[in-house]
Amino acid sequence: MLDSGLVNRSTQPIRPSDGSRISLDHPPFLKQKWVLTPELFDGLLLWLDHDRERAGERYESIRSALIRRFQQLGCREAEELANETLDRVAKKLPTIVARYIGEREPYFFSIAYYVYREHLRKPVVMSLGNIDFPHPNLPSTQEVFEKELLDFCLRHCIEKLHPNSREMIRDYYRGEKRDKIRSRKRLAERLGIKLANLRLKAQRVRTDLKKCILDCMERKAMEREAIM
Amino acid sequence: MKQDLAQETTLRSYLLGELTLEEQVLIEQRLFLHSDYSQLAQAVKDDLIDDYVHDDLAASEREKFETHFLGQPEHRGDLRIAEALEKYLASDNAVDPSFITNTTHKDHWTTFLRLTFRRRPAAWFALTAAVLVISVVPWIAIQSVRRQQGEKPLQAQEPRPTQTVDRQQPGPSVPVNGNSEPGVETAERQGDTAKPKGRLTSDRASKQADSQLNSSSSRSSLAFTIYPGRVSRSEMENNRVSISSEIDTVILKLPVRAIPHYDSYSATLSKRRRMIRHWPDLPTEVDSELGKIVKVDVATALLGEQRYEIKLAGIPADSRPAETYTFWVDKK
Repeated sequence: MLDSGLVNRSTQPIRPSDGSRISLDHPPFLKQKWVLTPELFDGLLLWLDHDRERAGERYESIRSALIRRFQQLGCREAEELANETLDRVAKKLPTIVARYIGEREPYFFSIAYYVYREHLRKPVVMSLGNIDFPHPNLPSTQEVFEKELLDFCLRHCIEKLHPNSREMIRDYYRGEKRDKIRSRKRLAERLGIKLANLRLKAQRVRTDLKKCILDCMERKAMEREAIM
Repeated sequence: MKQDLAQETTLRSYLLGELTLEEQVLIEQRLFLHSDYSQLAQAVKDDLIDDYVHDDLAASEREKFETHFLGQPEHRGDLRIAEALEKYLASDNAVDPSFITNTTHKDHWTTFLRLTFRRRPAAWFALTAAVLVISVVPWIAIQSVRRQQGEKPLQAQEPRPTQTVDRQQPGPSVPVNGNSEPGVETAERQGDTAKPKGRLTSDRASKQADSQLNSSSSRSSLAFTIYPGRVSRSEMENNRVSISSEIDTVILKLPVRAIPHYDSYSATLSKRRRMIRHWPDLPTEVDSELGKIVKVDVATALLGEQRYEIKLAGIPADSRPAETYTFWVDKK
């Protein structure tokens, strides 16, 4: 997959697992905001077309298409997101110009896909779990907290589901291998839908469930933050 | 239908990082522009994660999943949610019998009985009569035989030998299949496995899993050699642990070729990356064929028909990576 160009949107301070705060004698310099320079913009236009006028037309056409699509996706800041996409392509251009040989437009939409996903994404409180601890068999306090929080939020969100959705999720994911296939066929017959539609239905419920879990975890983590 | 399958295969390849940059760009363009395609991708992603959680990925796919797919923080979050959901559903199934798959067969059976007797009351009488005949006729026959033998008092009868299981301490190992090729398990039967099965079953039922774990020396056990390395289900011809119902304990012999410089090791048994049991300190032994080994006794009550992993780490733990032994359990 492509590098989206964005490093980290999380504004939460990283703290030691015991919850103590880190005090630094020399705090790090704030990262300077990246700005699109005229040189980079010219490079972007040149990459689109050697004829500057045609390049300008293509640029505008891509920008309008991006705004339209972001609007369709329900983004209020469609124009900002489109600009963010164009800026990111310009920023990444020096690294991709040599190795990307495909059409230009798809590349913009590909970056827009990442911009959109990041726009949707909430701060993930499970980030510390990615650190490799020296003793994997002995979970840290933070890991235990995250695990318990995830279990709690999962139960909470499953209970919050509509009874039909809850039952469907249980039936859809239960069993192993052949049992699972049989169970899904029966479920599709019971609901009077095709297996492919059942899959999409289950996937939609799962997406809602995931959203609910992430919201719940974020809320609980903030509550914990306030107490500590 | 074929087109859907092709799309899903491409999306799966995309998620595992198997496509060229140009192919990736085209897929991401589609994902951004077409919501239906994006939804299909989400379903493929969920299936891929479920396959990983259920250990259904081939070794190469598993590696790509771990190195490429899990490279994205969002995907790691998805995996954790999937694992939590799987665990929840497993516990939920265990608590609520209505979620057990076989309940439908039970439902069919009870429905069949209910309908049969509601529609045909005569069936009730026929069944009752049959039960009476089956239970009364043998009783009458026994009584008449006793009367012919002169009605001997019960206490005068010869005492019948009761079936007792005289458990033996495990003697020297006896090879069963005698196969000692690398990668093929060698099974060794220990203890007396020719005892009556019924008694063995009642023994098992009367004791807790813990006591089974702790008193393995007085039970029927089988030894298997498990060679290190990760293998998927399709490649699990080696390191297969086949156990029959009368076996209480399997002894896993783990050669420590890669990390041999320790006197003792800690071992962790896990399935689907969830820890089942941990042995903090296991001594090493020297096997004539395998060299330095660690033996791990595992109660068969803990094992189902699936893939397991044992991680072995030297004591004291240092920066050297632990050795992983993967095996697949078959129950006869």
